Amino acid sequence: MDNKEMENNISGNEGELAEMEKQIRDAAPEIPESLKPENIEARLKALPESPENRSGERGSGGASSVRRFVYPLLAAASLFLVFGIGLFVGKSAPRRNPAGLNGAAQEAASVPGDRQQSDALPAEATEAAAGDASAADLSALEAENDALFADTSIPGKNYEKAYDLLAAYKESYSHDYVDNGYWIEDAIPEEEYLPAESFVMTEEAAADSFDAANGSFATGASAPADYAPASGGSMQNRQAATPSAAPKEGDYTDTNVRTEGVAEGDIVKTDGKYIYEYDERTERIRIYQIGKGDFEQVGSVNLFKDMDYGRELFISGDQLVILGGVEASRKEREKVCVALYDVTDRTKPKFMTSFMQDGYYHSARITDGILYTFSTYAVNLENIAKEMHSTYIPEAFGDLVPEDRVMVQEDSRNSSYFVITSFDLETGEEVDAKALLAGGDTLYVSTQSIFLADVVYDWNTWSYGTTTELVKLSYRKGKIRRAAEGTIPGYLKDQYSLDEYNGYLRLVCTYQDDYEDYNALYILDDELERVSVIRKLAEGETVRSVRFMGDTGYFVTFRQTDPLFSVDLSDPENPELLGYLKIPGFSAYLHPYDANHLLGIGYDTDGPSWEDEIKLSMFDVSDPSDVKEVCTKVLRGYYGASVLENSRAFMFDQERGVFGFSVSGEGWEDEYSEYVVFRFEENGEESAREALRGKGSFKRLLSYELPGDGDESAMDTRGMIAEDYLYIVKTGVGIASFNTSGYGLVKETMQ
Amino acid sequence: MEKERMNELVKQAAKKDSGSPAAFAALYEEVYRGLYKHALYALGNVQDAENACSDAVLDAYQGIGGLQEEGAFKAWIFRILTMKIKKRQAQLIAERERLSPGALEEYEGEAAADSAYGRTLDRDQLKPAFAVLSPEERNIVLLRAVGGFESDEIGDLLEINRNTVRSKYARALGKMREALKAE
Repeated sequence: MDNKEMENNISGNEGELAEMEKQIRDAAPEIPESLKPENIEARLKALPESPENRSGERGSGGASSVRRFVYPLLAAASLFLVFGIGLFVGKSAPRRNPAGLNGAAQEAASVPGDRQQSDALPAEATEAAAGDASAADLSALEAENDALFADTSIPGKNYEKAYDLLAAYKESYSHDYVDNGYWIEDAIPEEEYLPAESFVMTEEAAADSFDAANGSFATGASAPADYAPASGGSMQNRQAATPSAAPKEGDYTDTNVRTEGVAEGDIVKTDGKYIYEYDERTERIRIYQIGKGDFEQVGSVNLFKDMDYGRELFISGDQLVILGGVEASRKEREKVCVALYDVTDRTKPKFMTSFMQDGYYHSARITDGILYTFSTYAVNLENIAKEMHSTYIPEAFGDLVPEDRVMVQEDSRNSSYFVITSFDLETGEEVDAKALLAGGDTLYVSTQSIFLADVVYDWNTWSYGTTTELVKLSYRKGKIRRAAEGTIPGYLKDQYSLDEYNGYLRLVCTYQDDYEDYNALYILDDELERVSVIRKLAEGETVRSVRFMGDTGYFVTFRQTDPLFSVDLSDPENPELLGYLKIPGFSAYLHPYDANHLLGIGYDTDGPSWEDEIKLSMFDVSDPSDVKEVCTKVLRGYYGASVLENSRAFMFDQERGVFGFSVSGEGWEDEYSEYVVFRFEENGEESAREALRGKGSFKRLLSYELPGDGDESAMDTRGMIAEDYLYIVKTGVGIASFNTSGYGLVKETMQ
Repeated sequence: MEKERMNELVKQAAKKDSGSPAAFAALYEEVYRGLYKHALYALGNVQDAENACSDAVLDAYQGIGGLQEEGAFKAWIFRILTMKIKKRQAQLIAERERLSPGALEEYEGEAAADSAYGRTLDRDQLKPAFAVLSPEERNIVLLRAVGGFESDEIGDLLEINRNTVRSKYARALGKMREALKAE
């Protein structure tokens, strides 16, 4: 029957149509196993938690093999204290240093970084007489580095490789279900080359190892020669040098960054004399002159005309860098836009130049006068055409990224690029651009390397588990070089889970084995090859916070108990679990407070409140084999803390021992937020209860109520101390200043 | 499921804590049969339907924090599924176009046995009925008959005029009936 006839027959018979409807409604096709509720539930449970990721899924045709979901498994917080028993171990076992100066065909590129890192010790320097051959070695190294970075091009037909991979990815979507058999076991050939392996730390085992630790290590020994920094200080002093806390140059607190020496952008910045604020609501950048608690707006500038929205800013000397984006339109795709202003005259910011790169803004770093900008660009698979490179190659600085700067990994299953550009702020020149066909769930930038971690979860296989693909790039003065790739099972919580030290990469991950969660600490070498591992830690729990401090590593996992684990990392080939401390609640952010103390900010999971309240914890780590919780403080009525969503929101004044951040809470009918400032006081006696605990207490110095609806931990609020005054800035709303002697209010424009 | 319970579950699922998967699964249980049926008849084969449902479920789980209206879970997840289905349909059409230019007209009118639409579902009675419909017609019929959406909602989702929805719906049902009769 042709269409015409059909048309004629259709008009009208209501009863028959209703019957048709009923037939449709009654149909009950068999539901595939995978879609049954119990299996869906199981799959959702197995999803990794991930930080907010803006890499778009556009064009990937719903291929959800790389999806990010938030799934905080509330596991007992175990805080692993890894401390530098290395002192002792270091003496006995010669350490392999891949970045040795002795002309080994290694990545010489890593060594200068070691020299710059305050917590890294160049092995050679410690063995040779101080300063003896180092000068000559250093220049030899510089020469080697120059050679290494002279040519950072990536050989091969990369455009073609990219196209082939993207086309295959797109194709795979329309095929039948294929079990790629990507099993976790295949990815971990442990028996081959993993010398160190511990097992799950049960309570009994923990107790045993504690004893073992106490028994076999002599504590209180003075630092052996090869650990002494030039000043000849002790282990304690070394620890004091390691925190990547806000360094105080001039007399102000800078943004809390992951790596000391590598600046990160933020919505509010200060250089001690001025405060620079980006107000999202009005899209204006404001400059305030500050001094003695007084503040006055002296200059402002609207968002650069080509930018649709701003994200972060930097102040670098007399240059103001604004980073934002341009929304996609019919003609153009989404781009990141960077604009530079000359603010020598703070009252008259002068636009200098701007540049763009494809994708959504991820973040940026400034180090050594070079601005590195990161973005994620999702390819629209429906549009790709082999001859039209622009359909599958991203642009940077106005042009397609050249073929020798596109990096495509074999067997990559990605439809997004991670785009990196480097720009010399001093000369105003574009230095380099690289596009990696790789996802970027976690980005960690050390003083010499860029690490990108991509979680791969292949829905096609139904196997439980995720794997993380790591890509390492070396960078130097703006030039970016492909260095190494590797994989680890499971996933990483955030950039604090990785740490480069002496050329090694230490990391803590959570992975699944036989449907259960475990955690592992890996040490990889400079080629991302596995050196050692401690596996099967804290069964059923997931990592909540990590902090590496030189030869010591601390991490918290959480499910039911709350162990704080400590690991000795001084011998990369033999990391050692030193012990664990059980405490209620868990820390989601760890910060070295001083040589003997580690601050934890997290949640009180054992509290009476229906929602976990924010909790502060101070740990005494002077003796890593016997970590103690000195004191805690629960911020009653507060359930959110800005620092737990964005570590840059944390203010830390190391000299004063003062820290601050904003918190938020909600009652029956209202929401509220505050900026709180604390100091840890040893042997304090704030109350009888505190005194009973002994050893110290948290003293609340300030509780400043923030206006507004308590918008989710007041994410747009930052605190900074400049020349003895504290300034609290809530972007687009106002500023409040306080003296740091009694924290009395000096001036406020907020309320 | 009463509205209150549903709202509770949505809140719980949005929290993204250890209780979230179970809460979401409870919500999912209310709609999953309809979701699959919809995808199956819209796309014509098990693999595509499974993929589409899987993707939609993950998207829904991820985005449930943004679910504004109370009690709108079902409509919302169907919306997501429809997007997935439309995308897939477009891909299949594009694929067919590339393989044999001009196949689009053919495709609109009947199922091509060799296309993805023609695979599987041998024993299903409704398959031949859906096979005579265009992708858009299928979407309309399924959203109305299976999803229970109103014509203006369907109009929004498929970006067509709501009066067109009504007339297309009637004609599509008619076509299906005729196709079944002809069997």
